[in-house]
Amino acid sequence: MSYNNHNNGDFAMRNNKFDNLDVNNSAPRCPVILLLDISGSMSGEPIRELNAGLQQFIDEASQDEAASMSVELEIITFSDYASIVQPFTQMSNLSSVPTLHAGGMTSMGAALQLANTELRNRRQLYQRNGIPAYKPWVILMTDGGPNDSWQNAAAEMRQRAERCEIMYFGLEIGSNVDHQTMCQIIPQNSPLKQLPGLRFKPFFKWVTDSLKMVTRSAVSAQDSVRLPSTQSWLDPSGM
Amino acid sequence: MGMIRTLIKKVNYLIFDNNSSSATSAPASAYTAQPYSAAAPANNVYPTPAAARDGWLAQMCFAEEDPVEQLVYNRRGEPLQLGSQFELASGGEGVVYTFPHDEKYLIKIYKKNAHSSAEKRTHFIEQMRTMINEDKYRICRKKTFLAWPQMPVYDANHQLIGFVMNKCSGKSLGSLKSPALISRNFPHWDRLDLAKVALDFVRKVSFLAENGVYVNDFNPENFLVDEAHNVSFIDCASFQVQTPSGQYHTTGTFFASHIAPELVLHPQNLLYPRNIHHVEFGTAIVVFNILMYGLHPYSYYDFNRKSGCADPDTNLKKGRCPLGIGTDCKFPTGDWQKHWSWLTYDLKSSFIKTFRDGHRNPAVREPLRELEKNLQGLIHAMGHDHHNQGRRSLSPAVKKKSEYEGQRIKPEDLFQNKYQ
Repeated sequence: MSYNNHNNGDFAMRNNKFDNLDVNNSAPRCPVILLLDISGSMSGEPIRELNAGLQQFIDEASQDEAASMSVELEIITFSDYASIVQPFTQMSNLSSVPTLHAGGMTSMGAALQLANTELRNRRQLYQRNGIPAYKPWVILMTDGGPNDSWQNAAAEMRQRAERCEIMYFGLEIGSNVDHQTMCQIIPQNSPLKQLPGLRFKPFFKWVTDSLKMVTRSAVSAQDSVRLPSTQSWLDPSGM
Repeated sequence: MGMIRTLIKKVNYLIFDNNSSSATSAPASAYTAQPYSAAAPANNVYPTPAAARDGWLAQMCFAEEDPVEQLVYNRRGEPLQLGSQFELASGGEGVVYTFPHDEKYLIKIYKKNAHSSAEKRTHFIEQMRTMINEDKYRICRKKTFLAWPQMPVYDANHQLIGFVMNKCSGKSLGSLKSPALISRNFPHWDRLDLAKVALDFVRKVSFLAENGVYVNDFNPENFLVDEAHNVSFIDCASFQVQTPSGQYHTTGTFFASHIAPELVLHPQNLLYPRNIHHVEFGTAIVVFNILMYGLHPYSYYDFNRKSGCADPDTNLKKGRCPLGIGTDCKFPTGDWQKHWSWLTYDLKSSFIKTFRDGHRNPAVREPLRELEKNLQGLIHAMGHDHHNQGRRSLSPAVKKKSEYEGQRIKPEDLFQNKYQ
């Protein structure tokens, strides 16, 4: 089930039966939100590579026992509007996600607002059920810049990152990114990286390997985890 | 004065590494940025503008792939070529390879920056020397359930960079975290099998303690289990051992949610050798994890008062323990109360003694031998109790009724054949 946020309008009501929370899973949760630009400029090879990278991410993460029990993946896409194409789902229960199709504008503000709401709701759900959790990962990927009203939602997400409540990551795709705006959206203490070419698969491999490390750590020691080097996907020559 | 000298001597032989990134030293030109959490470098100074922009990524990621030697040498200088075709696993510290000449062994090679200070390097060398050469640990070297260092491995400059160890097999204890995972990894298992795994684990920790070796890091990923319920210990380099001169080597490595509270509340205690009460605490947590599908004994939430905290590590520090007899338990949402109810009275008492009563009073924690006896009692109860469906089921349908007391089975009675 998904619901849409059309230009900061009303949200559709979520059916509580789809909270997708296994209360008999003792593993601390690691919510991961992918905010994915599927605007028209992502058509063709970019969206194909993104889909392939996503599937690889799911395949590898779901095979790892620690990550599969802890990571809960949500995918929010944004084009003419923002949409949850995959609500929070434990990786062990995920084998694939809907294929993404590109087209339309770049409603990044709507996506950020949706993500803020989802993070809040998920945190409350964990607290209501006494479930421990790692810091959520929020990865924003875009090849352009927002066309909608983004400032308020972006500020709220920035503040979460500045308070070190989330692991916030910005990924710029291609050469037409509105870098200045992205520097305002992604705070100073969070990485904003240019993806070399369309190296989605190496990038998602790094994300998987990083989550494997995090989900093997104690929750209180997660900040001390040493993640793999980003060279594997930042290096344009490839591995 | 004598006490101060003793303290200095102890500090010299202990390495404190609280799993935290060490601060980089500030270069001449410094760039400031918003620090990220407790892992921020000293004075909020980052080495480059790019690192300042990277924030948490700069602090948590290795800047570049830390190289690992692939041409290594034994004591006699004979070379051995390793390579990616032999790579078995890679972690933050080093890489584990299969031993090309004998599949019963593995080689662990540490990354170049694994021992970042001269002190850590010295400690590593002394620890390896003790574990490989000392006679008192010969019995440990022979045990196939321990990935004990057998032989040192050097680089071209004859610097110690790793060791050869026994190869252990099985799945990590993390694979017992839920009935679904258990059914996937060990399709015919029920809770009796989990109890046997727990018993084997306690027996082996006891064996090590009796031979002067204390397990330091109770991360469940450090223990493997096979179909025959045998538990192997794969992180032996983190054990506490004693040199012939009586000094202790302990790496200071620990898993933050499986460590005695006095060590995490008062980090200066990490400078001292571990004692048996620390081991009792860590062992009991792992046993609890095994029997309760990975649930942490300090997973506490008071639904009535909405107090407590969902983070077991925080609850451990504060002593918020949900364990109690009958309904005085404040587990999180789920079937946890049901699973707890089917443990025997004596085993529940062991856990309550260790985690509730023994939180601030290490001396009252359940000794390993008592924990072992109570696990034997649980195994016996599972075999003979007419409620065994509830005791043995991975997903019991109902909670054990409180009015059913069952027989208080004393393990010593087992040997007198009182229960036929």
